[in-house]
Amino acid sequence: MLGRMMKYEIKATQRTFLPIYGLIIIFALLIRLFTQFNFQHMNGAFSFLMGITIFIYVILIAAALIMTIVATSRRFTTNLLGDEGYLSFTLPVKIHSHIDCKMLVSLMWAVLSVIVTLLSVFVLSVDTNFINKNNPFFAEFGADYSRCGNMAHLITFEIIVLVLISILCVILQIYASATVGNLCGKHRRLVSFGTFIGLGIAQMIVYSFIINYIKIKNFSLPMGEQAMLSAIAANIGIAMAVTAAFCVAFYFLTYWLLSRKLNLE
Amino acid sequence: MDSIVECRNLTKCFPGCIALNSVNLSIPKGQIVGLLGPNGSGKSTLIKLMNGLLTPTAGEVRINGMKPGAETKKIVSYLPERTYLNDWMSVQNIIDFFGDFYADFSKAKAYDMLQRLHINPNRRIKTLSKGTKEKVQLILVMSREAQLYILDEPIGGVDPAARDYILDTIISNYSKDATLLISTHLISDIEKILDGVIFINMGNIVLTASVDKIREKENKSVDEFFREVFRC
Repeated sequence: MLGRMMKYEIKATQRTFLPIYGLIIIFALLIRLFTQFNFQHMNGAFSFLMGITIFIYVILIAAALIMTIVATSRRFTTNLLGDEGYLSFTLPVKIHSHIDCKMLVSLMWAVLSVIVTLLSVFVLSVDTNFINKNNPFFAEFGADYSRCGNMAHLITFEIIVLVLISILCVILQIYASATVGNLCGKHRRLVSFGTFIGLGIAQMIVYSFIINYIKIKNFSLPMGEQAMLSAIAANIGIAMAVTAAFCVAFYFLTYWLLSRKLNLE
Repeated sequence: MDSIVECRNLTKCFPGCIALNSVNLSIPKGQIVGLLGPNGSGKSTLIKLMNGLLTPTAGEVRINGMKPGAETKKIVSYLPERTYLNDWMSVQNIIDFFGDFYADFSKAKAYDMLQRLHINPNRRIKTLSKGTKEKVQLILVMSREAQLYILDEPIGGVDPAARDYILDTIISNYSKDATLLISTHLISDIEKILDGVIFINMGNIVLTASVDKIREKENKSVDEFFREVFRC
């Protein structure tokens, strides 16, 4: 059932994201095409056109990232807490399937937005000349990475997982805030926004506490390279655990409110 | 007689008002029952509680012995009083959607009804008028082989000329051993199809009776009796 729900969730949201992704790649290619010409021989009109293209490209990148957050919030509120909720909540599926479906699809678009942005930057900046010119950089980076051995793999893996968990945490924070807001008869948006800020502050307080009282103990300079890498890996691990704990808390707050306190208008 | 719906001391409070006041109710299987009451009497609140869209303040409601949840939603076909269709879909998309989620949904029946009501399945939902959207919703709901159909104001938004057709659609398409609960205040239009009625006012059940008994005892139509009971 989750697969079917995700199929329709992707269909509902792809109309927002795919055109933006397509435009980002097209404008990156256009900028790339313009840069093939010699800038010194550009006339005024050509420079203006180039400037406009770069401006639109930057706006599109910003739009993709903003749309990811807006769509995450909007799909949850309209499809579950608005009129469409009358259909969603009368489907023969469990409450956690609704949350899982929206959460996974939002995560997918967030990751795709990052990938498309990186891809467009790659299209803009990287060619065979660039790679050749920067050969020493890549060689040096590769040598450093190899020297760090398994610890480099571990830290890379941890960073990727931390980024994914952090995105999930923001998504679930939006869901929890929207569901709390829905408990109020009036000023739902205001209460949702206030809850989102409040939950953010609560996270900041916990992170500050952990940084001050736990993490700092791991670093005692001067320290060797391996000890430093181990400390970094350990601290990213702590950050992962704390962020995952917030994810679980936000998920169950949303689940509890939807299953025990649901009151559609 | 077996009940499909059981309410025990069902209470729902909203800030500043009691929408349902300790309702005890039993709706038998295999009947067409009218849930009748003036505006704001608690009809939609009761229906939403049966569908798990509201959480009771106290008491409980059971559908076929179960609390509202994924299992009861498999056997309940619900038509809300508002439009719940996803605007981005076409009519065909929403039929596929129902086919994917409800095992008892008949696509053939849905397409047949669409054809009879002259609704093009390729049209986008957002291009349909409010009345046509309501007809599409009714088609979706009546194309299921459910055990309990709950229709909240099914004829409220359509023109009088289409009402008879819609009532015929309801009668000719619901499973014969199923229960049909219809909420409305347009009593004269649905009276001819009802087996029983539930009168509700200000969150209280005022009367539950069979239509035949009302006609025999009161010597009045349900519509006339309703007007007498709820006279302002």
